Amino acid sequence: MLNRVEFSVNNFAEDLILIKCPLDALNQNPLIFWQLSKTLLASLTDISVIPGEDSLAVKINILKKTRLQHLIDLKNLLDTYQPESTEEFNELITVPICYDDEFALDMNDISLSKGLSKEEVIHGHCDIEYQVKMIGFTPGFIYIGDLSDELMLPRLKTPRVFVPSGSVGLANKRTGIYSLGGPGGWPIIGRTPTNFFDPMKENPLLIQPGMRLRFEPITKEEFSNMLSN
Amino acid sequence: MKGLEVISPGLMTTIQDLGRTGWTQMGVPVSGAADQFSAALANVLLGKDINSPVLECTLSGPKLKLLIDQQIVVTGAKMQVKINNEIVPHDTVIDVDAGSTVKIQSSKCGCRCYVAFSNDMEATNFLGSVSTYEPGKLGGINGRTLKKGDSIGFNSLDTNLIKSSQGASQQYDNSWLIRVTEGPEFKRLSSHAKDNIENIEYVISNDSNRMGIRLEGPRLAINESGDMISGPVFTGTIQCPENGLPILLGPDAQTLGGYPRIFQVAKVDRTLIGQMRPGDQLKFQRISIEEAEKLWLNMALSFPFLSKI
Repeated sequence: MLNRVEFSVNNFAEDLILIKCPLDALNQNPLIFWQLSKTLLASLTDISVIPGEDSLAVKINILKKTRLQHLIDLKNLLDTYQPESTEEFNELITVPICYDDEFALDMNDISLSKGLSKEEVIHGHCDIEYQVKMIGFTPGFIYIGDLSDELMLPRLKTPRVFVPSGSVGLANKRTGIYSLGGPGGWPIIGRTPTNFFDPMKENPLLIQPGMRLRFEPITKEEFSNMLSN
Repeated sequence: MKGLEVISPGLMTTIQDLGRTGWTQMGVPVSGAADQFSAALANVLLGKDINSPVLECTLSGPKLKLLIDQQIVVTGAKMQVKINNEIVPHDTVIDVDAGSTVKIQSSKCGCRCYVAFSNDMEATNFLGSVSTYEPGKLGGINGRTLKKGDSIGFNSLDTNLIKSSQGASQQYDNSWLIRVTEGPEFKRLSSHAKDNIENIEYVISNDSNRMGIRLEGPRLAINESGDMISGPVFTGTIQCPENGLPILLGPDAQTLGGYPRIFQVAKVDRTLIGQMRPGDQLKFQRISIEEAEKLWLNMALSFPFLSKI
């Protein structure tokens, strides 16, 4: 059994509450907010939640229950919350990725700023077995980590207005997959033909935090073939 | 049953309701009408559930042919409405005969108007909502905007609708004063930026859509090095990347974001985000969370249907 956690509960807005926890609790259980999100949804009504890696936001309806009462109910629940131990995943998900210049929009900048050759950047990215750290942003966006220190980069100073679907980006300790096209602030290192969000399927989202994952480099031809299948 | 035909689709017309709530933990945005107040009002005036599907018309509206007798209400931006070439008012129940055309034009102020019909439009339901979320191809008509030649069916409603006459006509102009509370990373703004923010007149950029509105103006000095861990964001969250130009998140807001969250638009003003058009001017007014709470509670007293939003 894991130790109880001292959460802090703060106002984010009149209808939003932000929950945080000390860093050592997060280090002990990196999926704590993902797990907590399930507990909150099962225990409280009229809320929606957004778990992040180091915080969780709760959206409340202050017309149904006062903000103060929401805060009290949350604090009571958190006081007795017993974190679960992390679920083990045996399966290793392989994500094909093409690092061709056409897809790797920021490869030159990445390689220049890190002082690495393109080959070294690619190896640094696909030689590691990762874990899915969080889902969110847009449907099918996957936060994956940890990247090695040599590939850690900040977000773009000005986010792009449009990043094509399947783009794989880097930000700090994370690499992430943009399953949907749209705006994005992560430097882009390649693209995957795999779609991680399909609303036509009974379970549209097959990935969840905790799963093991690695990238496998493919050629442009393989990319096109996989995309058309 | 048959409903309507799209003769011309307008600039960007989608089917919306009040959104796909309860799935943000999976990264599915709430979506729904950008101006929830106007969308709900259109349904209220017809005596319908406020979450019933409506057409959201953006900047320049569609031309539709109704195939059955119908009552309609148009709310939101004052885009001129013509039934068979005759101008009809907003915020009023209009009887439309089968075979009539409904043409929605443009307006100089406000960005979106809403059309509610006495029968529910048939649309793709995903996770309990027909809201169109274009990036994910969800809801509406195959998750996209209306196209010329589309036909939208109606579900029959057997209830006698009790019309309401909540006078709530909205007037917009081309400048906005938006009330905001401090966001979780407000402290990262320089002290000059904090002191000066209410004096800045921003312009709504052309690079704006239902996901976010980019603001143009002087750049805010912010202590930001692009190294945040992505955290929760919502409709109305104002992010500030290192370039110092704030981004105001709209109804299709992502669920997590890694740029500092400097402000949150007060709930009472959040539906106005849907009426901001490129080129409009915008200023912020800082208020406390307690004031924001009071403003929303007061608004809900005036418009009881808001309790469901």
